[in-house]
Amino acid sequence: MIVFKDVFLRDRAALFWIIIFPSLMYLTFSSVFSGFEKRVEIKVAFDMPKVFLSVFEKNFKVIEVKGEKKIRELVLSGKADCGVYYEGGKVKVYYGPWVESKMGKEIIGSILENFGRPEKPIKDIRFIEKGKKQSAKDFYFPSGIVMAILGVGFFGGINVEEYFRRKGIKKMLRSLPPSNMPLDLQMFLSHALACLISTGVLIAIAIAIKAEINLIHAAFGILYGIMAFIPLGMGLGRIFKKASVLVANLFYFILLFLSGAFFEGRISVSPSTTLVSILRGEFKMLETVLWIAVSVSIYVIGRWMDERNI
Amino acid sequence: MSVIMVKNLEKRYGKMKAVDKISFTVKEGQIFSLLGPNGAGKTTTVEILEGLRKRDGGDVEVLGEDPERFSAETKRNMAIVFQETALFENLTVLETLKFFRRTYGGNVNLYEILEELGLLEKKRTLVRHLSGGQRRRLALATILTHDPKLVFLDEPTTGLDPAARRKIWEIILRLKSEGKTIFLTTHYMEEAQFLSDVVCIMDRGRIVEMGSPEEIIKRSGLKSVVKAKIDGKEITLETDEPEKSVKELIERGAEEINIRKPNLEDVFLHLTGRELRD
Repeated sequence: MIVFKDVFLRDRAALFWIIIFPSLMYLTFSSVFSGFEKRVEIKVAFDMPKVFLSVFEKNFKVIEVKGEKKIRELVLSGKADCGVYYEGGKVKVYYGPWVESKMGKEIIGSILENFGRPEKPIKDIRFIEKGKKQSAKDFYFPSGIVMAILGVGFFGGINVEEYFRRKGIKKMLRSLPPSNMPLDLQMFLSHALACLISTGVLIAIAIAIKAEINLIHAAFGILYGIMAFIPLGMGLGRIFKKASVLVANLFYFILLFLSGAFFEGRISVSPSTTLVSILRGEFKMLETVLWIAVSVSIYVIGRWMDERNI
Repeated sequence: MSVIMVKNLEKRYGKMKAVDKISFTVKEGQIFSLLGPNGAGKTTTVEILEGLRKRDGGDVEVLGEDPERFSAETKRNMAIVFQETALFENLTVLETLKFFRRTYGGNVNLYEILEELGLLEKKRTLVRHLSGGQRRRLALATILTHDPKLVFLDEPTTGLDPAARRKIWEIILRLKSEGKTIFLTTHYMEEAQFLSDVVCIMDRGRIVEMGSPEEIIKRSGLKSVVKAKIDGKEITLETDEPEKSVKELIERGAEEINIRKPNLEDVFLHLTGRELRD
């Protein structure tokens, strides 16, 4: 594809943004925050007599469940940092190897050892380690993917549109006899291919550094990202024309910020939040379809405005 | 046979009339130059003819079709060289020509074209590394990758040095010799005067004069100016027959004789009160 060759393959700056920048950011965040874990709030799966509830609620975010099996599941999946289960005067404390979990285990141990003293101390407390460590390299994988797709698909979409217009290439291509592949489809596929390369490199790095990633979630996320952000970029590029680079910068950082890829507090209504949700295994069909539809609609409006103004 | 027919063409941008009811025809094999200062409406007119811009009024036919509904076949019979030499910056010279040959379904030997245009040594050079003159030559080379009947050249020599400009003129004359019709826009009057069969001068969206360069100058009524010194005294003559005047001045013992014939620049100034490159 001529567009891919011109805009991505032969452009050193583009190669930097496609491959090196997201990889560097991912590796930098992963190493800088290597001691930083996924959650700052300790979540405790709780199946204990009600008398314990108030003291646990003072120290943790309590998830009340029924049964030891459920507690084990929650700790194993990482949805709870610790789990406490009481049966016949015995308490089992489930925890994992990550920092919050170990902190939680210590606090729980202290609570239980002091509970009922001196009259009725709990004599039998068992600590059981479950679950896998989730480190920064796991946590920043979605961030890397979001950055790659927004940078290459969305930001690149707007910039290539503006570059082609400024250099007169759009006019030149419009004057040519129709080719087998329309220009817009070529542009979409070029950006999609660039997104796949960029995210593919990130996945390879994630595997190499043994990050915990789910390839199916990643594949769905990348597919959604391509569908939701490339047409959006192409559309905005046509709507804002000369101001499109400014708009690209503005939207890029807003979408990146809203995604919640870097921060715990997420804004729920944003196409980039949906991308992060998919990457973290929370697939929401309605949101996904909605954002793709919005993106395609903006592309259609941009195309219509472009045609109208000639 | 008319290759281009324009009748009462109009184009407005908001309240401003960029093209105001202009009419002309371009015959097969002609070099037709649209001349005018920046903002005269040249680019708008040529883009309407190329099918890149919609018109607000009037009738236009290019190769027998309305440019707003060009068929693929008609597009194949046209070639356009844009003002900005719009080419893919990161393709090599050879790849660029291959792209155009493939797009137009041509079957020519690209190495011959490269050799003819002095670009053979640059065949593996990226377009972004070419000089201005080389880019223009490459843009013209794209025309040679197929066999168009009609060629649009939008300010093909703007910003080039005289030598590079001469080279481009040679190529344009070669295209004409092959029977191609050439529609040229320029604001270089000497270019229009040297190359054109017909010159159409536009100003503020209107045609102010049209015809062969000689006809236009003759119709303007502008005379040649002959300056000479006789016995140390400077004299200035305005005449329609400068050669005859020079002969007479020589016979009277005149020295330092200078002749200045009117050109299209003078005609434009005469007609509009403005200079062409304003």
